[in-house]
Amino acid sequence: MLVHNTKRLIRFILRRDRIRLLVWLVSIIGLTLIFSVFFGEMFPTQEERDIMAETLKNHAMVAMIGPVYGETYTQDIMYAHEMLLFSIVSVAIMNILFVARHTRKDEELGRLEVVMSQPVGRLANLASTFVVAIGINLIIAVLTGVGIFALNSDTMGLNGSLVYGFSLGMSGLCYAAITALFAQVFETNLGVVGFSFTFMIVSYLVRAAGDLGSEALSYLSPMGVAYRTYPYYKNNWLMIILLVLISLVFAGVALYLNSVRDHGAGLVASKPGRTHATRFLQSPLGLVLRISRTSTIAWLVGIYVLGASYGSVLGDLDSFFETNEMFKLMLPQNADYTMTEQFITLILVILAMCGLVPVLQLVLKIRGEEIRGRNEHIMARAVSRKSYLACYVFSSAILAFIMQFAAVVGLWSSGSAVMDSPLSLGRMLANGLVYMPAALLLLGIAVFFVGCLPKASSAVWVYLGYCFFTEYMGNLLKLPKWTKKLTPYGYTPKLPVDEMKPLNLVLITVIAFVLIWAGFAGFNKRDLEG
Amino acid sequence: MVILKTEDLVKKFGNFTALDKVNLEVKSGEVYGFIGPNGAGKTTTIRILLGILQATGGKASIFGMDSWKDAVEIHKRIAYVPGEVNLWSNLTGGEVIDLFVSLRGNNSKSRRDELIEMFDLDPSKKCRTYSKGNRQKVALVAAFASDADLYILDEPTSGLDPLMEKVFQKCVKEVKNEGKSVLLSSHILSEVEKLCDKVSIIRQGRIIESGSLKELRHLTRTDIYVETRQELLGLESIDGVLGLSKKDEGYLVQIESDTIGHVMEYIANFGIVRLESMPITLEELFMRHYEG
Ligand SMILES: Nc1ncnc2c1ncn2[C@@H]1O[C@H](COP(=O)(O)OP(=O)(O)O)[C@@H](O)[C@H]1O
Ligand SMILES: [Mg+2]
Repeated sequence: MLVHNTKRLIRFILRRDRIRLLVWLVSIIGLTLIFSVFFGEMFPTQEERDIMAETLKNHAMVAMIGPVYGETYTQDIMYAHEMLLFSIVSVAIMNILFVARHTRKDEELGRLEVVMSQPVGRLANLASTFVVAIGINLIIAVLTGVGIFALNSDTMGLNGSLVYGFSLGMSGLCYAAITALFAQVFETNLGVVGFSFTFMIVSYLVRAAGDLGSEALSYLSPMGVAYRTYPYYKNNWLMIILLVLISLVFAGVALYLNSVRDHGAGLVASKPGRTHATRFLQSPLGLVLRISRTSTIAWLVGIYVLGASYGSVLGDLDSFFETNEMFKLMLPQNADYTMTEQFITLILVILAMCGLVPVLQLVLKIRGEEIRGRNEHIMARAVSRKSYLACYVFSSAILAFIMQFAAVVGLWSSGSAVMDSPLSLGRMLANGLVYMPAALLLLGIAVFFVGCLPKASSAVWVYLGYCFFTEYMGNLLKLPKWTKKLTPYGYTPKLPVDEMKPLNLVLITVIAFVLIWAGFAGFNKRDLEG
Repeated sequence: MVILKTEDLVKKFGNFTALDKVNLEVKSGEVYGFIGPNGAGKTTTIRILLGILQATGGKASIFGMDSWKDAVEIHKRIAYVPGEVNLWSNLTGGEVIDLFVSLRGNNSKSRRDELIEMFDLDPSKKCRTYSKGNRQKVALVAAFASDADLYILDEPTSGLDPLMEKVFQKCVKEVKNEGKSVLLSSHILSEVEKLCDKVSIIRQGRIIESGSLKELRHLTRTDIYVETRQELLGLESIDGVLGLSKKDEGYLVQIESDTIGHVMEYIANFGIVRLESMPITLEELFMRHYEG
């Protein structure tokens, strides 16, 4: 029998993944519920919500979270509109990782072979994976639906909440089924996960295109279909049935392919890689760039999108801030400048700090490589310690610049489209690049740790977190002034609101170079672990 | 000419003394075995020689240059295979080999493709898919494909199957024939025995024995099995006989190696029918040092 012993495999999956699944479920359901309460408190009056709705009625925001719907932007609709797509993305990620792990990953690692040598049916493994996936997505659907209603019963109805929950869960099921299909097609776990995520991103973008233009396009994407349930408004259960049908079709094809293919094989054989290194790769710098390539590109795209999404709300900010006390508190109060200008300074600091994540990751990579025993290959060849460390420091310094550039261009490109009197790109760049000395200082701290205190390297993340916290929440929480003076951002002039303080920038840069120098000296002297 | 030398090398990790006055000397053209159990200090010694670790005391030099200060100059002329080969999961074996050979400075990949074939390695596969043995092959191909004066190999065969071990031995013999020097660390004695001119045995950070294989055997015993026409009597009282036991039709005799001549003369009196000598393997020699 094809599915012999499926039941036992289900128990086996649950046994292996009980902690993992519990963590996923608790975080997804927990966050969904917390936000449902939080939204109500953040925008308590209809007036505030109407302004919010206006702010969100532009192309960039529609592309990002979907069009505003309903007659009035009530609290429940606002919640569903702003939360649904992002929640679907997180549920989709969970499903993709779960299914890939139990199908192609197990197969690739040879774990599945052990299972298949037992008296189990040919389809038992895939079938049991599906059953568990259906189970977890049903749990998400029911618990979020009932939970939202229970916590907000005066503002959010039961039917709408269930529609919301089931849109989440059943789109999760779609992505699970797609992943199972890819797991039959591709030979490696990386290929399966890669294509599944690509599919997810593409379906997000197709939905965006549909929402902006021809609506029919949106029906090609599970996310577009899920969005068209319009929770708390139309409560369209038909769309949820459609999601289930799509899942069934994909699952059926996956099961069929699974029954006809060889164990270990895929429909698409993984193509052989290069047998020779390109000239580019044959140098230490080439190696550093190559091993950080993918994540660097992803971060660049990410920071551009982040900048652009902040930019897209710059249009109606002034009226928005007038009505929302909480947001107003986040800004430094300076009557000479408009709310929008003050908001831009806050965004620029935030973007600057977000952009530092891949920069610090890159420079700390030399430490990661050391721990993984791969620096030994380089250090035992004709490459000096100084020049190898320099490859990392140099490329991360350049990356810091490029990241900030991409963030500012992102902010400017959508900001200038929605603002009445947009800033020029040149001025925006100047306002953004003023944070480069601070970036260098954090880079310097990282280099210092790598060279002198390698075991404590992750402390630099704590410090970046501290910088972020004081800059972002400092005004809101009314933290004492000195808390900001412990970071370079506290000394960097917030253009255009502050006056330019060249001396501060020079001093920050000098300290950064001293730290970098000390890091190099330490790296030259210490034992390498491998 | 001395190629590699350590003098009273000491390395401490905190309070722990990993190396305690290690002395090694590899001469030009020698294949030098560096043997000892796990944790004895082989890798630590090699890492100091490569300038990856700094010695706490003593001196380490290669080609007459200081291992720590002149590391880059030294590395241009050596090839190294680490004990634990970790590679980048999304580069292919071929890419890594090219990278490694290029990083040595003088760019010659004379025998790259031939070696890849000999070691039966698929260079188009990503390193993530390689087993331990395959990763070791990548490092070995990169090492032997480059023209070096000294090859430092840290337990290079621990993941290879017997067939590949043969290929490896062939490679070592070839570089030896070209007059190159090799430092080969191992805890597998048979491999050292077949390849090395000289060995040093290290245990708990100390060199406990050094010399040519011949010299080391000298310190040991030879086992023989002998059957004689007449009953072999009185052998246990002969000088140099360490042990005697009946086996099948004859006797197993353990003899101190430097007295073997007159012991054999005595045995010959009884009319030898069958004689098998079982020269002590390094395994046994090693066992003694473990216990001692
Ligand atoms: N970085 C280190 N810190 C502390 N102890 C170490 C370190 N590296 C090696 N050791 C210790 O030094 C001893 C020698 O190790 P090693 O040279 O790797 O032995 P071998 O290569 O002969 O197996 C071992 O006891 C090991 O635990
Ligand atoms: Mg070792």
